[in-house]
Amino acid sequence: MEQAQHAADPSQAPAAALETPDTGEYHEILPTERSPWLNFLLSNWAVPLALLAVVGLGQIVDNSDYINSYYRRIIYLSGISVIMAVSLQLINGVSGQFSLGHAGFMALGAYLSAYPLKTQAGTDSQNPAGLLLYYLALFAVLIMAAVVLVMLFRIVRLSGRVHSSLPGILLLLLAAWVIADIAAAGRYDPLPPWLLWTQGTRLLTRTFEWITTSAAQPAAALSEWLPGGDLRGSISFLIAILGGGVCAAIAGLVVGLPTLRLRGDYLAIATLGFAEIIRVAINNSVPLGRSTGLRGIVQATNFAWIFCAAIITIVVVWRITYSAKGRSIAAVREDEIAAAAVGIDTTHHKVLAFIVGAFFAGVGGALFAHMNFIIQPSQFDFMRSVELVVMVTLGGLGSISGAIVTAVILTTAPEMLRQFEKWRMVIYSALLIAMMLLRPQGILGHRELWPRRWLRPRSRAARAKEVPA
Amino acid sequence: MSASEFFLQQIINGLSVGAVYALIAVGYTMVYGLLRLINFAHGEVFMVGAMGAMYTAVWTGVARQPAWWGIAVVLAAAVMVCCVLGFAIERLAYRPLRNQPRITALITAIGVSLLLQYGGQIAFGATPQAFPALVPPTGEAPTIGRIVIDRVDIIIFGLTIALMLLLSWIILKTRTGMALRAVSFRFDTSSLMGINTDRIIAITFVIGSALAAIGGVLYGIKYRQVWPLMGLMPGLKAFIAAVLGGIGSVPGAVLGALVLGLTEIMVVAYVDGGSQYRDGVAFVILIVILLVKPSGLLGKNVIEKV
Repeated sequence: MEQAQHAADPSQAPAAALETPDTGEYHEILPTERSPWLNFLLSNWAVPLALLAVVGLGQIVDNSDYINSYYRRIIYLSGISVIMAVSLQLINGVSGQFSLGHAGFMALGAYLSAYPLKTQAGTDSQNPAGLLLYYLALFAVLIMAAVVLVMLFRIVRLSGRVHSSLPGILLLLLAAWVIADIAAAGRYDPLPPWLLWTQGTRLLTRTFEWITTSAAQPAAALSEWLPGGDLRGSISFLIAILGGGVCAAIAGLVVGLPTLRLRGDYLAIATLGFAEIIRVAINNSVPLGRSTGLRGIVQATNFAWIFCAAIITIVVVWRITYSAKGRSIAAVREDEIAAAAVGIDTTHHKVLAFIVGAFFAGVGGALFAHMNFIIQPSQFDFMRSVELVVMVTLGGLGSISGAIVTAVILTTAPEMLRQFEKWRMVIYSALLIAMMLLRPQGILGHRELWPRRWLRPRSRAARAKEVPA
Repeated sequence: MSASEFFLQQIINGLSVGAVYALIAVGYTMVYGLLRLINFAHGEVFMVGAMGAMYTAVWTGVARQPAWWGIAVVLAAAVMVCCVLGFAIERLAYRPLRNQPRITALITAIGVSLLLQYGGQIAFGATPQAFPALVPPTGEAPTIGRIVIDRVDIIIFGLTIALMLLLSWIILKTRTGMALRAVSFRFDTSSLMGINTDRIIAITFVIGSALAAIGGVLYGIKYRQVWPLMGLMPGLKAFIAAVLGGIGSVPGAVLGALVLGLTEIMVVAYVDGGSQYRDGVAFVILIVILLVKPSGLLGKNVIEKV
């Protein structure tokens, strides 16, 4: 009926569009054209509002006399738990891949933001460009190493086509070579060419040093050009947070790409193993302080940073979950074979969720590191991963608000119940079993505490239908 | 000690470590073969076995007077405790979830594992306790040339081989074993053929738990220490061994465990600061095997169908 009325009125642009015969040309049917940036702002109006509110709240939490450092710490930790739980929700709940290694990404983010910020950003973090350069050099070296390793794995895999036992044999030979290589490396000077592993790592470190030393001067000049003081420090911290996040995301790609082709329970073990490898590596890394921990971390985290990060995490995860990509991700979760059959690239979507989740875990880790004077590998052990899994699972796999609520409760409740510290993990595990037996979908299931449409932009097509009367 | 003797000594150590992993790995691989479930609580069954053995040894007085019959008593007690525990875990935690998505069962398994770990900390205390010396100290340790073969290692390796032969007899020659193979081949069809799948699954859990219990006792005898979190690392490594050998395959699990034990010991012996990397090596192996040959050394490539 409405359509007919519009068609009768030739002054209306959409109606005109409807009447024109299809000549293959593109007809703009929107009544007005807004800039995409304005569109984005209008459909995400809640974000700047929330950020503003957070800055105001931050003044209260950080500077008020009524909140002592103990409560401040709990508030900070809750915010970080929210970041971690929501990012894990994207992996475990939304994409249905069961990751048990979230603490590994957190550790990567923590160490790879705290160490560069402490050592590379100059006094009072006044050299953000130097820090950026450090990360760029790091990524360049990582990409070089990744290319070589991927080629190696391709060769080993392809050898299986010649004979099915070849990959195993090649792999054993390679492993023996690497072990012999490491064992022999200390004894020779100069290094003989057959020590490929040691030669390779040495080449990578030299490349890294070459990039950082040769570009240090221009970087310092670039930093000088920026306005000094707090702003420069904040830019450094932002770079450190993003750098930690990107490192974690790269690790997510490295772990995810091969293992996400596997079934869910293999993935759980692979991620667990990966997190353990990270922990063992940090435990043996001299610059990162080995098991005694990394000391002298810049105290840069405050309320505003944490809660801006938390809100951005929530919004990004939310928007991914309820976007077209999110629907594909959910389809993969519900039935991988059926999803592949309707043309969804299952690996792509799983890896996407994994990388985004890992990135925000890294961001959470970076913020966590900079609120502590010292971080230790034991803070990022298997129990931390399990705690995060418990948060996500109790809240409801797939429910972002559920993850937020349980993250806050499970971070603050143990502080209130200090005398039951011994029983904490027993209660967690009993809750987990009871929840799985009685209500496997978690407290909220897939639902959210607030309507889904609040933060969702209306699509172009939906707006085009709303023609002004 | 010359280089080759040192190498042989490490091989003996590695086989002994691998044998303990093998005893645990078989339980993982059998349960996975039937239910496609990673029984995370299996490492904790191993821990309970070792704990039960320690308390039995102290309670019966075997701890004060080591004797060969004492080891048998302790083993029997540990096996009984763990059989009951394994049966209870399956009956109470996993059976109600038989028709739920696999992830649900996996989370439950993690929950059971944590419950046993932290319940164990409350029940037994969190600090490591000394495991009594059960092997009677008679005579010199047997040697080949200058290579010392610890009696404990002989017991571990001999007992493991005997148990593996017994297990393969059960699986290959008995009616129960035939039913077990049928269930792991086609779950639904075998239940249509009149096999009581619930009973077979319970039997599998009991067998796996018994082997894990024996593994726990042997671990206690070798390392002389037990603590509530002791099951975590051996459990994970045994799982890795099962994946390495091809999960679902019993010979594969044993092979994977021996390879893993040897690799670990070699890394500790030959790489500078290798003992620091000992726990990392297993996970590197896991990730590499998942990348290159996810079906494992002896596993079959199974394509998941609708």
